[in-house]
Amino acid sequence: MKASVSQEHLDWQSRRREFNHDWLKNRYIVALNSWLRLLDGAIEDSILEATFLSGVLPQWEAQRGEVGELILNFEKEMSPKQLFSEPPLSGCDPHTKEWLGELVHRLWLVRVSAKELISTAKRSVSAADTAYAELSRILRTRPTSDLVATMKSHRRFFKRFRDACQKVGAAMSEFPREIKVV
Amino acid sequence: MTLPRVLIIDDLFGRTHSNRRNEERANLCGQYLLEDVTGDEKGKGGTLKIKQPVAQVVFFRGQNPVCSTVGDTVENDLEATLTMIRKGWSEPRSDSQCWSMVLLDLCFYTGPVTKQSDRRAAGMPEGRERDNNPTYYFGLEILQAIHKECPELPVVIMSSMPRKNVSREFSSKGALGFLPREDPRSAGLLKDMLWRHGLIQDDTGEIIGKSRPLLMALRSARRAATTRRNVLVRGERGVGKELLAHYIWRQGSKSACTPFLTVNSAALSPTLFASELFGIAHRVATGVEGREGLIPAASGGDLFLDEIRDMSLEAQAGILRVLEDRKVTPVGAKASIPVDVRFLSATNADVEELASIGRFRPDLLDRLREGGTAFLPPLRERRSDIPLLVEKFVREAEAKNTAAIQRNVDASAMETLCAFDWPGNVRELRNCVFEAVNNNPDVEHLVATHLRVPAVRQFGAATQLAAVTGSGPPRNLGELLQMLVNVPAEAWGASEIAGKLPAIQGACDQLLARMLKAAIAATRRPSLDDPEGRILIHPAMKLLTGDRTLTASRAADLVKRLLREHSAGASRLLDDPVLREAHTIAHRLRPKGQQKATGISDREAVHGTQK
Repeated sequence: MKASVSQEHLDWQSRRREFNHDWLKNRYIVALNSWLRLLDGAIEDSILEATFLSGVLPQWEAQRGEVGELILNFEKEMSPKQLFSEPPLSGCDPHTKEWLGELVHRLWLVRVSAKELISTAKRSVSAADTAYAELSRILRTRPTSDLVATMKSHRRFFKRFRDACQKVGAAMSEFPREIKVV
Repeated sequence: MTLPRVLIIDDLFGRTHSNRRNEERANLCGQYLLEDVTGDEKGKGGTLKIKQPVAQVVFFRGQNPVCSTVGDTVENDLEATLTMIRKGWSEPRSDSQCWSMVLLDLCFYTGPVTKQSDRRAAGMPEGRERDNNPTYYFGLEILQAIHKECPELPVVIMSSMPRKNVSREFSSKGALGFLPREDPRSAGLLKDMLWRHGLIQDDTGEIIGKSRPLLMALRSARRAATTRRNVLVRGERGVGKELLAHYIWRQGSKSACTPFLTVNSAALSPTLFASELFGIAHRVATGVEGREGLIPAASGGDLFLDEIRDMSLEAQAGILRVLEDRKVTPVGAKASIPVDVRFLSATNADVEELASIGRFRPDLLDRLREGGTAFLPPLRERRSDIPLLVEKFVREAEAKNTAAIQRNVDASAMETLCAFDWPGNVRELRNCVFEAVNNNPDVEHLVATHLRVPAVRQFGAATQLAAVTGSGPPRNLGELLQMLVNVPAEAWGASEIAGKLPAIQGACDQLLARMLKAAIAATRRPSLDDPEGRILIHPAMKLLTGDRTLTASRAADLVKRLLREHSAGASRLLDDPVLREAHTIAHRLRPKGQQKATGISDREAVHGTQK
């Protein structure tokens, strides 16, 4: 059953869309894939070569906070308990709102396997963090010449990070697209 | 090798930036190994070089404006999108610019471009609530429109949305598949999609052509090649059915060592088919040598049965047994041999009809096409391939010719070759080109007169004329004249043109007389006394010649010329009351003998007074 949409859930959905669809999958992972092609010698791209390490790769740091917040707020903002704050359920007396809201919330947690979704997403983000930290450590000493040749030896670290990002994308896609009532 | 051309319709990757290149788009090309030929990014610095591109790609945003900045409002533009699709489908400038496939995004963001949205991605609008609702995805609207207007155009969805969320929507609207945009295997996946669904050429060059009917035949052949089930190849004589069977074998076989054997079904007579197909056991009789049959020899690969309508009923029964048992028993052998053969068969006959009258076993027919039927179009339905085929045949003929001259095919010769219907299809064209090269070993240019193209019989009807000139029936006089000028008369042989001049003159006279009648009708002035209006040959001839200075006497002379008494069909023309009256008026104005006195030449009389 589909519920009417609350502003919170719309915000969460649109923030998820901006992070997962617009940034992570459409741009960031595509850039990582292109960079791996560059390291493989399948393509030549002077702009990507010049900007990837300094301009593209560090975007993870800026977006890291956003994905953490999305995971953290999912339970609160996408729970059907939200429906008690808008008509017609907002008209219920406070006591009913409290016990019925709590019941609906608990049933929903089971229905959408919310805890599992959250923990999978957290694990994937943590794995991406680890892979990113590893990359950052390696990249601390950047070569002054023949960047691509040097980076080729670190290809597996880039690949590991790309794979981790893909898992983040897949995990974030698994969250429901709308508020579902049991 | 010509790369397939793909059109990507996507709001993010199709977007052009005003002062720098679209990085997201370059990265997508890098990931998918696509060569960007959109042509809107020139001069924006930074070159992306793909070493082994999978395809060429043209990007289109599907929205207005194509290049957006802060302050603009972006709206979806279905009509512009369809116009773009038509450019590479229904109205391509050449076959090489046809879309092999369209990759289509689903979610297109619209609305105002704000500073905040522009920071997320340059030129990106804020997005409206409806944009992200699968029910209203603009991509699905485009998909539906494509499916309606160009149902044969292969469309694959390329999106970062989870496939399961949208599979019902895109499947029901005609998309052939789904590519997850960020998938690291994307180049391989796209290559597979192009192989299965795309309209792509035979990259080995064995089958020449890039016309849509041929590419669709190749696609159905590739699809049939994915299994080991038998395939029936159909098409008129000379279209190259064996080549297509070989193509199926190449596409389906894992190694070049996999056998591909051919047999002419007419050779499978009631007495010989068993030894031919199943083989002969060793030491079966004195003086008879053991021999491997075609079916055991083709095991693991394909056996091509050419023209199955010529197969004897006994041979049909024998093959049916093999298809059922998957084993053969060579003549004289006591034990059978297991075989794994795919039968690729060909025919240009109506085998269903033959089956209905008992000349072909219907159960065998069903077995022979259980993996599908591939149709090869006749050459007249793929005329745009003729120049490529001619080029190939000329080179082949030169290679067999001792004189080391490389020839060009003159434009008029090519026009002649392209205009002919070629009932014998590619084989007949090949013979024609080979003959021209062999008969003219010392020339660098093949011209129309070197070609023995069978003549087009008649050109009376507009449709026949249209077939000759390769265009539709004439819509106006200008087109008719153009078609007449383009008639490839040079290609006609002596027997075709002998004694035809009077007939051509007669046809021209009739046409001119009818035009005169039309001019008279247009210049009549009806009155109360004369509702039809008087016949006025002077204004009528002014109209017809376009010469405002034409005098009445000259007009009369021209009418007399047009309705020449000595011409073959004049008496028939003068049966018409309007033309008869016009002729009488002209004679009254210019009695016999006066024409010479005025000094009007024959040419002037017929063609008017144009300088």
